[in-house]
Amino acid sequence: MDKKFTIYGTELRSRLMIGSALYPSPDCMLKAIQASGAQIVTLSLSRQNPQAKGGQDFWNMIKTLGLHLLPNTAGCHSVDEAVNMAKISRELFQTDWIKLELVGDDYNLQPDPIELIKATEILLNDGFKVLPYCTDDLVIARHLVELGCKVIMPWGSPIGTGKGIMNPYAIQAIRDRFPDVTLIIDSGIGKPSHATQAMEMGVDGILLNTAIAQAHHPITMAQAFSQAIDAGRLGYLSGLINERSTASPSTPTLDQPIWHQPHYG
Amino acid sequence: MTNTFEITINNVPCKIDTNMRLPEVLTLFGAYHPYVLLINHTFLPNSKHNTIELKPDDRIEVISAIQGG
Repeated sequence: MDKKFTIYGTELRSRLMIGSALYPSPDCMLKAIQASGAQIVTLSLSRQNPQAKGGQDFWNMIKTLGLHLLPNTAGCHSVDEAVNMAKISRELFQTDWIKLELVGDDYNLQPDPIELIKATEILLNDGFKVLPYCTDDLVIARHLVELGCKVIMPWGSPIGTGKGIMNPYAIQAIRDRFPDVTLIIDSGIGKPSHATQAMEMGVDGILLNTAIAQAHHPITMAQAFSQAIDAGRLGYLSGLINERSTASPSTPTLDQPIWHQPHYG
Repeated sequence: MTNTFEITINNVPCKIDTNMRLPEVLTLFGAYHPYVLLINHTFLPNSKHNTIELKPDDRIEVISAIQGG
């Protein structure tokens, strides 16, 4: 029996969460999100430009999907910025979910762990359900869990790099140490096999954007990721074999009709 | 002659009549729903849009949804 995938008590069928940025066209975005089967879509905030009507069209499209909305605080560098943006998002999107991003360095968009902890505490105390984007540092994860986060979202690798899980040991350590927390890989997944790898490790879900939106065929790539995530989860639940350093025949050799001398070449 | 003063909306300077209310200013700007406002970098709940009085050099930011990852 599989454990339910939950975000602060909300049960979800799909373990894939999808971003709404970087698609070649709005229509492609809509179809890719639908093809992914995701029930959560991420989005952000910007100043309006009434001359460019795209903003309103985007909002109308997102509404037609009927999905859970997960606003982010992308681009924020300070606690004040992130807290302000979270409050604006709550008002605009009528949700207390917030994907908390606090950039610590513009080179690799690495989350700032110190500011992240401060902002998380403020937002949790204000009633938000915080989904913090963090590095794969076990101690940062511990602080977030101790503050009350029910979800943590470490990177696999920096946003948009597509490098997959750079440090499987670190992700596994977080998984093993906090088995009851909803663990989601939030960035760096580049191909379906990366997602499968993460799910086989016992990760609960994957948040994706670039790998789908920038694929040559985003709609079929969304399907590929959906299936890869399901396959990885099923593999995890089925119990993976232990690796061995020596070969072991899978075909029984006892009473084989053609006998041969052992070969030690 | 109508008295005017200058404010900025989303970083664009804009002259408005002194007796204009915030909802009229937003209509003039072309704001579309849904949006959230910041006045001088401070979040203004929707329930207070009709009550605020604008002053010279006020900075209004009209915020809405955009694509995000």
